[in-house]
Amino acid sequence: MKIKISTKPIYYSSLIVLLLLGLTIHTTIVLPQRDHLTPQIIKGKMVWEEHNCIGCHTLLGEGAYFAPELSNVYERRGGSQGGIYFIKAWLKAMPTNIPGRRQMPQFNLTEDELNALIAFLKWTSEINTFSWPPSEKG
Amino acid sequence: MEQGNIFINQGISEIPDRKMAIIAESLYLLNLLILPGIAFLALVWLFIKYDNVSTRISGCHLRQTFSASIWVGLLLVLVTWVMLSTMNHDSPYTWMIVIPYFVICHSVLVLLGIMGLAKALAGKKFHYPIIGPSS
Amino acid sequence: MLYPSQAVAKPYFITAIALFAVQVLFGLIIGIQYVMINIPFITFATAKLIHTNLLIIWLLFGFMGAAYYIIPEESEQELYNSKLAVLLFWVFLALTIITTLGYLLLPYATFAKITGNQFFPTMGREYLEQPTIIKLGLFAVLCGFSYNIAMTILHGRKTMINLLLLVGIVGSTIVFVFAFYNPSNLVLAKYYRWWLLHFWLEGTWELIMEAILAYIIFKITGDRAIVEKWLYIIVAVTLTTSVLGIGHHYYWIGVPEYWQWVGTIFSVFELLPFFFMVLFVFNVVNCTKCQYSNNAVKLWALSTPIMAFLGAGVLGFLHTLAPVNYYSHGTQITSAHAHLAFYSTYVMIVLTMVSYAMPILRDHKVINHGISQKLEILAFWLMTVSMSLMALFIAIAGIMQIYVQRATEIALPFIEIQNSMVVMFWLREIGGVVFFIGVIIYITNFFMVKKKYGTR
Ligand code: HEM
Ligand SMILES: [Fe+2]
Repeated sequence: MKIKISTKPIYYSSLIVLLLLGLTIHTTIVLPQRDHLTPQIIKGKMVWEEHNCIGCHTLLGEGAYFAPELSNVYERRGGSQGGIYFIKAWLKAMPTNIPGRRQMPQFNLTEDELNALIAFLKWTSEINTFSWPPSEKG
Repeated sequence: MEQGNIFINQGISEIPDRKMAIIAESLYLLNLLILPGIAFLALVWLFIKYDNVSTRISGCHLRQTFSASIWVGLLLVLVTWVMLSTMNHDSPYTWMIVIPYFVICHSVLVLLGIMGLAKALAGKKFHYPIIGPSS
Repeated sequence: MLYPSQAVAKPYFITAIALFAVQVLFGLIIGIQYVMINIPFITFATAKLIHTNLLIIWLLFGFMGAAYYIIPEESEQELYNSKLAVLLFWVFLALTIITTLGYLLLPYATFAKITGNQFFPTMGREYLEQPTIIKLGLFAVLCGFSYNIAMTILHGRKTMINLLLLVGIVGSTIVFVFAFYNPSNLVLAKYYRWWLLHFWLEGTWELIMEAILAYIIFKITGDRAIVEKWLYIIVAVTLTTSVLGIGHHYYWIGVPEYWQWVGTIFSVFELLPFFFMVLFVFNVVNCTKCQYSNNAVKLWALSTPIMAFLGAGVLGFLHTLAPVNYYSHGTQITSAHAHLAFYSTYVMIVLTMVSYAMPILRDHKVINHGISQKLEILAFWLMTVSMSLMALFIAIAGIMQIYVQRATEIALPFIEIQNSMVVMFWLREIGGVVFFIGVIIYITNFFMVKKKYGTR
């Protein structure tokens, strides 16, 4: 049996790659117009990454599924009324050592790092995700 | 491989043996995947109209897919409907049973269809385990 | 073995299998932590890190071994530089050990500080947790590997199988560049992280997998023309569906809404390559006729497409539609899919290759001898059945999680729901233990039984 190699699939996939590039360029252009980053938020992202929070939690649904979603934790815990204080107190109170409950480590963050982290989580909670997550519990 | 549109210039009983087997298996899969009901009716029509001689592979595939499609209806539609109408919709346990049941059943039936199609393409007979007639 | 340089595949395969066992062991540890037993000395995050990172690493070892084995034979040519292949093996192994020890012995933040993450932050993202310098090392290994393979093919015969393998390998190397791109805008960072992960798992790795599968099927049937005909269709479908299928990761991360349409429409068809793979193997392999005697390999090769169809195809399809993904995103459903898809597509293809190549590499004249074959087939069933059940249990937990946490009026808090799913997590852990027993039997078989009875 002789195979006839048609170039059609290559043609279609190139079209698709072009479409992907076009959409990517559009996405990359619109994003910075919507999201305003400050040095504190950028530092907060770094704190988030360097402590591997994603190893247990999800952020915008990505990460491990062992601990709660945190993209909306700022709002869930009361926003500008309580979110800041709650997150700070929470991180300082870890681990809870309640038997039978999953434990979170103590990271010994400085006040600076805590504030940056909270700014980052606040910023994240403001991302337009088309009302995801479906419930405030994450 | 012979080419050409089978539905033009040909009565159905002139469709070659292997092609008919392929059509039967494709209709079985279409019924499961994209055109539930419609593809089944087409299969029933072919099953009745086509001169399905049991010694030929077309006969084998037609009877196998016809029988298997009836099982599809029973397992996926009837059983699911019975479960949903008897169980409490407000309990998560209902969905923890019904969804996995449906998905597992459906994908196993699709896999059997793919194997049937593979055999039809190779010009061989195929017997659906349990849900196909034994001869 | 036709070409002596194929022997470099051996250390790669052995390392792959050994790391596989370690990876599963760490899986058992996190499984235990899921059922609320806190283990001293190791946190969930650390164990999970090792579990997922070792998975990627050992699969890469497996792919490299497969390529070093297949390419000389397909190109009818000794490996361009087998010394380089051996050198890269040791470098890769050293990188793996250093990274794993770093994760184990240091707090992650300290590891990040020591390796200078603050100067070039790339750490702390799922699957990309390795320190930046380790990533650089990995990139160097991939480059050297690609170079070696490309030069061998360039000087030798070109077939569809070795060219496809080359595209997969070079593609994986190029795509890895995105590991170094971590913009400070979280949304963009997530956007480009998927260029690595999605284009590996559903792009270049899938091509590698298809090439290996085609090679094995060719070895079983001996008919190259028909294998290439099918391979051509499968690859064409893979390429046209996966590229924009990446949109299924972009629904809720803050990018424009059109991604919901793009992702849904294209990724629905990502099931097709797996559909065609099943069609291919069952169309081509005629079990009653073929002379090929290694039954274990036949079993692995025929089951891989079926399982891939279920794990990647069906379970992927289930949560790939945007309206479904709205509820399932970031729940145990994702975890169920990730487990079965990785096992069925990549673990199984590497084990197929190992089962095929190792007896030949060890120069065993008779492959098909009683005990060894039986044990391997037993290991196959233990692993495959237990992994399928594990995925089922996790998926059931996921349905429950969605129902109580997301789809009701009065949603319960995360931790309470997790406690109520503990039965499913126990069942999953039991499945994991059975899987581990399967792995141990598989390994024992290779390193003990085959040595004893193999040369008979
Ligand atoms: C080729 C084999 C495949 C492998 C190894 C694979 C593996 C994975 C992995 C590891 C993830 C991320 C899990 C996590 O973040 O923890 C994922 C996510 C996902 N996969 Fe696949 N996948 C495969 C094929 C597919 C296919 C064919 C589809 C669609 C038809 C698909 C649909 C998805 C979707 C929608 C998600 C995102 C889930 C979410 O977080 O909402 N996958 N996959
Ligand atoms: Fe994907």
